[in-house]
Amino acid sequence: MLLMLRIHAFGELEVDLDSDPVALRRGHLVRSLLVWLALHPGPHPRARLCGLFWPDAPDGKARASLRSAVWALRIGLGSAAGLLYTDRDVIELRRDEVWVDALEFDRLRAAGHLEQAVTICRGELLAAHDEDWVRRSRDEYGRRLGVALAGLAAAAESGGELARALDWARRRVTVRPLDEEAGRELIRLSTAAGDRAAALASFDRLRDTLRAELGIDPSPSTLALVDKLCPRTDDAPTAPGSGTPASAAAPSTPPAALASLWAATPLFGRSDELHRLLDCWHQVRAGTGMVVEVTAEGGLGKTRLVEEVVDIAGRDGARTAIGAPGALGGAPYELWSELLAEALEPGERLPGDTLWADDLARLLPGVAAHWAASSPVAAAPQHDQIRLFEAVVEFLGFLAARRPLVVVLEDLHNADPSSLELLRYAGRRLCRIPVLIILTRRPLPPRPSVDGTLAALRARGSLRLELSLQPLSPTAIRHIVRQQARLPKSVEARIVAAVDGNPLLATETARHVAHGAGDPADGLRIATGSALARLSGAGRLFLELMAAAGRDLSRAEIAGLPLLADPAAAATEALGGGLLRVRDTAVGYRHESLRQAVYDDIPPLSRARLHDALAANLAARDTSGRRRAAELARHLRLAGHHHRAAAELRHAAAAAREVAAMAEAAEYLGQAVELDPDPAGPLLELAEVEAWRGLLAESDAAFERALTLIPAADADALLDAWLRRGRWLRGGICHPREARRSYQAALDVLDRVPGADPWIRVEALAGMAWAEAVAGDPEQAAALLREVDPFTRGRTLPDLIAHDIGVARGHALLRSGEFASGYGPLIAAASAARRAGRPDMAYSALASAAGAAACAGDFARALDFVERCLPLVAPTGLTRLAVYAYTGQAAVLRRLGRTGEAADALRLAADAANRLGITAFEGLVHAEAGQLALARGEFDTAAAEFRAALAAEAPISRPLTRLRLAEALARGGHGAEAESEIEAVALEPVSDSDFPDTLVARMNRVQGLLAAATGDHARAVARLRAAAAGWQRRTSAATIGRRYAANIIDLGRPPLSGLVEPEREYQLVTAELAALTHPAGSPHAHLR
Amino acid sequence: MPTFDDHAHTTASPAAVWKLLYDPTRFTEWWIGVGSVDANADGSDYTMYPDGYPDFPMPQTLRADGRQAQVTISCLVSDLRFVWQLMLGEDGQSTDIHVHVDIPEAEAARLDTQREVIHGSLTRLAALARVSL
Repeated sequence: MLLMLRIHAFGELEVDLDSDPVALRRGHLVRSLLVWLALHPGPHPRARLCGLFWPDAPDGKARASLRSAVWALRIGLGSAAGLLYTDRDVIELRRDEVWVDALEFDRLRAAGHLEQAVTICRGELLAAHDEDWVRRSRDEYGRRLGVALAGLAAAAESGGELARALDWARRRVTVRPLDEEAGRELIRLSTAAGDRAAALASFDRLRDTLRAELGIDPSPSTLALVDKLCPRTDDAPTAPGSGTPASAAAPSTPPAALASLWAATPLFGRSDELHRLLDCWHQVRAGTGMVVEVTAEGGLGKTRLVEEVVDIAGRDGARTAIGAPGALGGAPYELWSELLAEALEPGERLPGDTLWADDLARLLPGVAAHWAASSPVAAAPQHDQIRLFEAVVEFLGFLAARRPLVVVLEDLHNADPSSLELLRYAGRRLCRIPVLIILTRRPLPPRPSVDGTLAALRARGSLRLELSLQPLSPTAIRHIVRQQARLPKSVEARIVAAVDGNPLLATETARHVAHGAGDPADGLRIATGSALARLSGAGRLFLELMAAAGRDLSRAEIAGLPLLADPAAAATEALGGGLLRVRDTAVGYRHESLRQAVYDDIPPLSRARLHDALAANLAARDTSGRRRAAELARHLRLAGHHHRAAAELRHAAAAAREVAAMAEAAEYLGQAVELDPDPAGPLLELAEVEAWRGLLAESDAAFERALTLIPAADADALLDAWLRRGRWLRGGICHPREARRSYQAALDVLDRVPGADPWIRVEALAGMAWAEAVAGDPEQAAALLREVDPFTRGRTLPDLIAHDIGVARGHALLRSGEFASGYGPLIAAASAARRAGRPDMAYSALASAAGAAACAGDFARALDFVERCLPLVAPTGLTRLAVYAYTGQAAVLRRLGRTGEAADALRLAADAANRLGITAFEGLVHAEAGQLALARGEFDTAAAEFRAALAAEAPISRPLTRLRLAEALARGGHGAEAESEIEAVALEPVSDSDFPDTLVARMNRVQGLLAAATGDHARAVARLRAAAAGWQRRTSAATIGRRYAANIIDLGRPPLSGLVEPEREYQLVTAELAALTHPAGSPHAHLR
Repeated sequence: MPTFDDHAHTTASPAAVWKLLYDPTRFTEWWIGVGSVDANADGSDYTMYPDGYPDFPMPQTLRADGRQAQVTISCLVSDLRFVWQLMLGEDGQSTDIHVHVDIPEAEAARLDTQREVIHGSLTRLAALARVSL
């Protein structure tokens, strides 16, 4: 028997099954859950429902509560319980046999049956409930009902039924008491009906309600309407639907003709784009995260379209947030930081014992007050940035676990570099969490960093939709114009022709013309100028301050704005002017073009005065942080206070470096250099930042310029400069030869300064010893270290000095081929780095020890060192180093014959590399996977992995990898392909870390294998003999020590995966040769 | 500083030429004037002995420049510097060999001799590569 479950959600909840009342448990959540499922057809993940209904409960408890509620619902539904489908993952209320009054209301409204639709609304949605989602849905259904009532009133008025129109208008005001447009309509209709007293009473109620509920006064258009309370004259523009246009040459249009000054306009002409975006939202809601992009020229409606999607998603239960860059260049991560802070709801708590929450606190200091974050672990910028990004990814997952998340990154074309890098990182990690990232951007002028970010997301399959908005059709523009003002058709037609499909221009032009002061061809700047002219001095000043501020301002910031006697009153007036809008708790321009137009019209001297006042205001506030320094510097610069601006720019750069935003730091310092009368300081900082960005030429250019500005007699400054350069050439860039020059210069300066701090000399000596050990003369390194001894004997060294000495001593020994002797100093260096709170430096020392042990052939010891590296990098979020460590562990395990464990380590390496999303790191893992497969005799797999490594441009020896690929192909029976790879080797770039002197021997061996496979015995023997001779010449320990150093310089890591073992290769070739020349008993079956 | 460039074309593949260029022990087979190379050479640092002067060691360095895809051989005694570069021929199989030579001012008088030696060596390298692979 077919059952029909009827749910009456308007008013008090009533549920019946074939007209028999259903007795649901009295608990609100059970009833709320039923209605939510009824209003949102389709399967819903349990996790989402838990987040929605039990947001503050731990996951396990929320799931238990959900199970309990579903059980109660089943009991209540009785024979209709089958309508509730559940499994381990999802819950769904089957829609076929369920009728819901709210959905029926939507259906009737969409079909145009407005009167039937409003009849269904017997009260507010779930009147007795107060859950978050209910309040949001109730507000939305109230809005829909208001729109339906407005339509009914308009239809009645145009049909001459003024009394009926008034009835609908009164009901609309009852339903939407804060809707100023509804209030105005009732005033207008009352006036039209000749009931002036009722009109004024309606105005009084509206004014009182706005003051009481929102703390604002009615807008100027409402006040103007009440002031006049008189019928239109014949030459005035017509009201919509009244049929007779007025003269096109009407010189002025009274303000009463404006339909709305600051209410959001309906969306016209974008239904196709809206549906495509909503399709994406529905996929996200079902659990598939993605990034979508909306591109269009300015004013074509990107923001309006996206706001519609956000609005709908919010009503569907999504958590939503919007971020936009400041117009005049903001702080690092500006696009994200407020958005992320906004997404965390009041009272929501982050897990207190996670590393990512601590890192997030650095990015969102305002939000950090919500939890007791501990101090994060220090690390070099390239590692620090990854940790911050990981923290954001975790945070997005945390937010989306409770409710799907929709975030909008507006105006990507103006985004700061750090925000783009974060988008590139986070955007590709979303596919399994319900997060929708909507991007908006203008296509021109081209910005390669934005294109690069989008290309990276596209390549990863994260960028799922790219919409390009075209100019709107004349019909849509006409609708927009009519929404703004009732103008004569000829004027309307001129606007449609003039604005060229641009809805922003259409809106502003219609308002401009409607005020009677302008012409349809005036353009945006004149339109904004006339909007300003209609305001009082305070209102205009407010708009100009907002334009100079260059971003949205919060209520608190508005209350403290300078130059205004009553900022709140000025804000209220300016909001009525129509150029601003309120978004959440902040006020800003409705569009950047409007802000720009107002800003451009401010005379230069006034502009400087505004920036001066804003700077003083900002400086006086007791705030700190990235934005403050950057913003203050900008205002000071634009106010002409260049020296103070330079000082603030240096503060901004320091703040940027704290969050690994090195591109912004470089930009700030570059500006500071131009503004500072004594730029040696900022130049040195710039040189350091550029080095950490890996830009040696830029770093050296800044450094050389700084040197010319430091007086030769200022030994302290010179010493500081050279020592700093030595440090960054060991960290940001590994350039030991240049580091050696720096330390030498520091030592030269020290020789001229008697009585200098001995630790400075120790640092210079240790740094130079390291540089000599890695890239110079190891004996000289040892001599330098002997010079250090008298300073350090019997003293407790500062940890970082102890680290430097240990590393230098260790590398000097390794370089000399005394690998085992190097372990001790390197272990001591690692301990010192750990004490100094630098796990990255401790890792580096232990990884060097692992490489040394591998070079010595002691793989058990190498494994011990690698495994001591892992706790330093995996739990501390040093993901790049984790890729190195796991790959190294896999290589050592492979050499020990523990291939199964090696494969496990490689899986962890691949996971870390995948999280990084840097193809070079993925290539590194492929290269080791190829070697593992080769060792296991899985030649086709090996060939595929080596090919993937070469395609990824990994930091590996390319000719060596290509030769290994040729070997895999040769041994896999693909002779022709192997020959091709051998030919390709000759065209690969070769550097010292490729061990060029060993490549010929390796090539000879592969050619020998190929010859043997084709039965060319003589050639095979000749090639293998040449290979054996080649390897035999390369077996000295000193040679291996030099190769070890080359590996560090060229590839940035000690040799583990890329280790070349001449002795082992020699033995291998010798055995293969023996198999050819004395086949009996040889284990090398592939040569027989 | 006196310099000159020379080039040769060989039907041999780049790999064949590459093996001769990266293996100092085979320089005696094509580099005119090289009598012997230290058999215990340590890869990129090795010692050549001029033809007829077995007691006159000339230590050399061989450096590979990854970005330029070239091999630079420098004599540590005379400061002569030879930069070799291989390119795939237009037919996609053969090889163009380029060499650039820097001669220090102090040894400018050796320019003509070196030009002749290198031209002859190039010819021999091209021919040897054809039969070597």
